[in-house]
Amino acid sequence: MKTVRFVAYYGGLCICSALLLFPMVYALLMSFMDKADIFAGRLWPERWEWTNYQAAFKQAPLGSYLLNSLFVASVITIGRLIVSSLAAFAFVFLRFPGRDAWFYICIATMLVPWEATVIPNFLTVQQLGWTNHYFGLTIPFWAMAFGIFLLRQQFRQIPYELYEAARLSGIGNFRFFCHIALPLSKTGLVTLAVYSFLDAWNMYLWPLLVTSDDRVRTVQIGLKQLQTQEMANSWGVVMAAAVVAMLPTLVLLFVGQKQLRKGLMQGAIQ
Amino acid sequence: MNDRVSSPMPSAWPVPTQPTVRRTAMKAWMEGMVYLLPSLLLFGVFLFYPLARTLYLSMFSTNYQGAPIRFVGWAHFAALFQDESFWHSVKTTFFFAALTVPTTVAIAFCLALLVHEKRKGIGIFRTLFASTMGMSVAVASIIWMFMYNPAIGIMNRLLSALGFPAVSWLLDPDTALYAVAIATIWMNIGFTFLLLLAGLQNIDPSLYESARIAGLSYWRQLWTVSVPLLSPTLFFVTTVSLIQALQTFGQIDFLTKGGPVDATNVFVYAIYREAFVNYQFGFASAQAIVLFVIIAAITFLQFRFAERKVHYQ
Amino acid sequence: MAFLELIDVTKSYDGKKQVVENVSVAIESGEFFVLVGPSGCGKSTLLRLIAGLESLTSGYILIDGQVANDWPPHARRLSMVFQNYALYPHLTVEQNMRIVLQAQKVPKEEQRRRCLEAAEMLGLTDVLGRKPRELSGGQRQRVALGRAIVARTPLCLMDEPLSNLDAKLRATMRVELRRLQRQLGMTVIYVTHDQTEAMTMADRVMILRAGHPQQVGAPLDIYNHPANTFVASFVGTPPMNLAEAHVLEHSLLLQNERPVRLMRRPLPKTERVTIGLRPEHIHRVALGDGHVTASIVHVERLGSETLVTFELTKQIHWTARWSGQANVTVGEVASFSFDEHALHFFDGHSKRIGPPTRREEEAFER
Repeated sequence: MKTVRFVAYYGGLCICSALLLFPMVYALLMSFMDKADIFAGRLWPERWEWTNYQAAFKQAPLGSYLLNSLFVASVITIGRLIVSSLAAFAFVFLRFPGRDAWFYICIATMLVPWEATVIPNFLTVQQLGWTNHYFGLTIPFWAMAFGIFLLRQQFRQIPYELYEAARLSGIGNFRFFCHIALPLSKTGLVTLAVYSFLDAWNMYLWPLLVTSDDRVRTVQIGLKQLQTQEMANSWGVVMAAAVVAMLPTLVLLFVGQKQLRKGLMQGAIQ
Repeated sequence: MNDRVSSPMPSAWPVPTQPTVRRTAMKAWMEGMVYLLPSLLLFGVFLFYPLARTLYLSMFSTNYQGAPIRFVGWAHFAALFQDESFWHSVKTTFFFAALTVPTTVAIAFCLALLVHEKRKGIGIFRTLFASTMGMSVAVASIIWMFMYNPAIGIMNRLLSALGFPAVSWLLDPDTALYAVAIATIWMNIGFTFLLLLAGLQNIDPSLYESARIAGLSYWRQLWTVSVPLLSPTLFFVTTVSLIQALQTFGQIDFLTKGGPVDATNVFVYAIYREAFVNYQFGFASAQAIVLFVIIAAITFLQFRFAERKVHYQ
Repeated sequence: MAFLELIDVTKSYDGKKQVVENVSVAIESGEFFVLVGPSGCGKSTLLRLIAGLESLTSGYILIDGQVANDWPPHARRLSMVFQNYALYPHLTVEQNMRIVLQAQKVPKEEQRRRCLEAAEMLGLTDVLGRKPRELSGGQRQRVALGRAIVARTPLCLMDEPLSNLDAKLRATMRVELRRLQRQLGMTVIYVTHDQTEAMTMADRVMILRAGHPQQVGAPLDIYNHPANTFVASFVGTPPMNLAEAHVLEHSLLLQNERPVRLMRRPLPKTERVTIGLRPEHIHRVALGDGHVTASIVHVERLGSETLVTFELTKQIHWTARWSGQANVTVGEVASFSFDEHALHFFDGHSKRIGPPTRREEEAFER
């Protein structure tokens, strides 16, 4: 009875995983197939080929797309961590007139969908000359209500006495922020970092609008390019590019899943 | 009472005057604002200003560069509400949300229940179940696009193997929205699963222990402990998914471009097309304002509701 | 000159209810001053006002004779030991102590020297490299003390520093704290809700109730001359026995039902009073003798002494404390007498009525 249960339980888990992961595995297998295999509609490659990957990097600037994505996602992540943690710190530890009003304003930004502001934002960025520029791709995403909220929850876990003790011994606010508040908030910071990186790496509409130049295009837009150009004849190349594009986020997720889960618990759901 | 009689105030002592108090408050305010400045500045430039600008543009006809030319007042909105294709896109969007949100949450909830207890090797399954979260819109769309390929994709091969007739999936107006919905559900399972799992693990384990001691069956435990205590998370996840569904864009752009015959022309895609393909920035802005109102209303209700009804532990 | 002086210090959060009202006291250098009272009496708020963590609503705080109302906390040259110790969990013991000195820009060599010195004093030398979570409760408490010691501030504020320790450790720490304070010549203002701590440690005590100071003085003065019934029942374990009484010519009528005749002492002129008597002043006498005869309702044997509770009236149970292991049983009826000069009288506002003057005493004896 016990073994039956055991087998049923883990068997069930394996079936669920297989169903869920099938599209990814399917893409991976296809990326190793040649054209004949693909058009024959095979599931398993006859011969394992690396040529699709070579083609993806050679025919299209996949390498530079990847670097761009890495750079853009990192800059957004770091910028967001800095901007959000500064604001969250003020909301938790500092006492000043108007603080709560500002907090409600920050919360109110959650009411505004990004798409509702995208038209003027596009025009603004155009006027600033930031199209086809990393500035345009990153700076608009630094401030984020969710980030502020998440870190605020995190900072609130620090006993306020620590801040008072610091004030008594003459440790200034910025010093407390750098040496005590931030090191004690690793969970929240890592959560926000993982979340932001995934978010930024997968960003689609905005880079589609503000980049027209391969030099700054991110990998998601690169995929779109590849798909429209190569589609008809070389599915394998497109799949190889897709596999390369999903690898960094999958790795990040495998590493950071647990941390992300814990952090989201604190921040989003309280 | 006191053994020390409080002496009357000698007049020589400096009385703390208002200005010093005000100066300290001023200093505190300045310091606070320094920390808030980056956020406020960015929100101002990239959120509040553009929102106002969208509203402004929605009352103008614009040239193809987006510059306002002629004030038209509420004319765009009036035209919009009489426009059949607008109502069609609203209907499509909500239907799409109805297809994806409950299904995603239900599947993710089941998966979360499956792996929420600590067992051997459970970490691997948790990671696997969360992994679609790492799929970008572009990657997911490309994979599903191929799977839906009528000639060589796996979906039709599966159907034919089971003896069903072939389906054109994305190319058929009757099936296209469903096809996009399936891909979207798949994509969103990961994140939803992660949030629900986090919510389940936040439930005090002693509650389960006492339920077990009371001899409650697994299903009774589910209904008396898990579901009620998870209700805030479920609620949060559902509204977040709903908001996300109303903002769907990437899959549509990749898979169907709003077609065939507008069958998948969801709201944000319609805005995008109006603005960046047809250069009707004013008209598109009016639609964006409608989107803002809908989403703001849902979010606001969520805040209010979450405050009152849903109980935290 | 007083080292720290509070003049009519008042604090209100909402402008209506005063958490601390009109507190005036002068604290001398080197003094161990204890603020004690039940929870919610405003003692912690008062401490935080002194620290500068809260601002006054009205009144003055003078440090070294200067008005310090608007001084930021660090300018007041004081250190504070928090109830939860407020140790930085990600820093080692040494770093926890040094961070204070870094902020004061003390040279590195000096930092190290002072840390070692403090660690030596507190027996923390072996754990300097550990993080707070690797320490026992007592060690954490010492680190918090160490942080106050290395800062070398003349004034140290302590907010219930021993309340998170177990009873045994608390007792040893009381002695040790006092020893350290004398050795370093620190001025300490110490907040606690535990009257035993207040009695055993303080040079002087201020008893607070609902934001109002009830009495200030040396522990024994307060014990022997409580200013009102609140102080009388707050200080001392078991607390002073109290009872409402009518004053008759030569006797007291407790609760309108039990008369007690006094022989050696004149009674106050007030008609209605509350009388108070410490448990140690009640003795057992042969049945039928003494002031009262009552049945015993409860006996607590502590080994070195015995606490006997007897029923004076239905509502009033008094406790007597006898040294040794008295041979009594519950339900037994016994007679008690007490030292009449140890009786305390409080008036209708529960305020102490002074002892009889010599004239009254003489008149009584005649």
